[in-house]
Amino acid sequence: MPAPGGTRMRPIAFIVTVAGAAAILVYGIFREEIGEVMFNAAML
Amino acid sequence: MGAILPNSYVQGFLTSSLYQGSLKGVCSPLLNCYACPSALFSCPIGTLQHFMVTGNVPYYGIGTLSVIGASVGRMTCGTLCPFGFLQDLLYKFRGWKASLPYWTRYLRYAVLAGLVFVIPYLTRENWFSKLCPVGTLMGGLPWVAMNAGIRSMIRSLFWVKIAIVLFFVTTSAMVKRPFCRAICPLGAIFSLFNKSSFVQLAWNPDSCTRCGKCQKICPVDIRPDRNWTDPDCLRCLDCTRCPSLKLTTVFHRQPFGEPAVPASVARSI
Repeated sequence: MPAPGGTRMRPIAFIVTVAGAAAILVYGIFREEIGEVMFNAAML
Repeated sequence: MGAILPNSYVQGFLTSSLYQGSLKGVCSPLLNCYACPSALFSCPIGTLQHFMVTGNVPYYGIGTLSVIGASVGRMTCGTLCPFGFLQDLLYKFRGWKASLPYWTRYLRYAVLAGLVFVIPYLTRENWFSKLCPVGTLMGGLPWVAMNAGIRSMIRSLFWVKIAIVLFFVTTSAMVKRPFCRAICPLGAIFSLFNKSSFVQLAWNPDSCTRCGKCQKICPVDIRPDRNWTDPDCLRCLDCTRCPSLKLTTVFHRQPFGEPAVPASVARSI
């Protein structure tokens, strides 16, 4: 019985998703957002 | 373990202070209030809201949660979340049990869009954090108990938060994980990745007898044998006690070995 949604495309979907996610994360780090997160936590 | 590891700054309770070290720059992969005196990491939902309140796109928060979601899907909800664990314990109480209507699973996406992104951006107030029952349990109540100054600042919103906590504590005794399934915005984000995450659940149609025991032990009341990539699935692996279900990866095409009847033959029957 074939898996729902088609299993053939899943490895490709995973690679595209993880690459996109890593790119967004690196861009956030590049924008020095970690400092903003720490500042927000310090302001509680 | 999920409650202990991210909340191991015990000094916070002793000195009535918050941890301010470099780990606070890291978003935890679970709903863990960063106002908790012992919290080491930042709340991911609180972080997203903070950026919306300041009118910025939360690239770092979205990127962190997307990397976690793409890796393990909702597994952190099923294995690490302290509030999920509390709901599981409460459901073990004997008494009247009910099932959650199917449509309620879509509420968490409305909560994510409304209370985490749109309303905080428009009102400049972090509304989900203001109402979050996890924040009340882990951050609000300890501070109210420890600090007389904070006790004197209690307003009507605090009692609204207590009512929300009591509502979820009560309903958790009757319904399996109501907060995780219907409300949790972090679960809503991770559930978007369940279909294509690296970690996957696999089902073997050759050995499955469709007995339905997997649904009985499932903490979110789903049938993994009907849809093993269900967005509700927490990847808690409770159902893998059945030999027809097992943990696998997205790259594994035949996790149970070659099927008894080849797919080409099965299609022709």
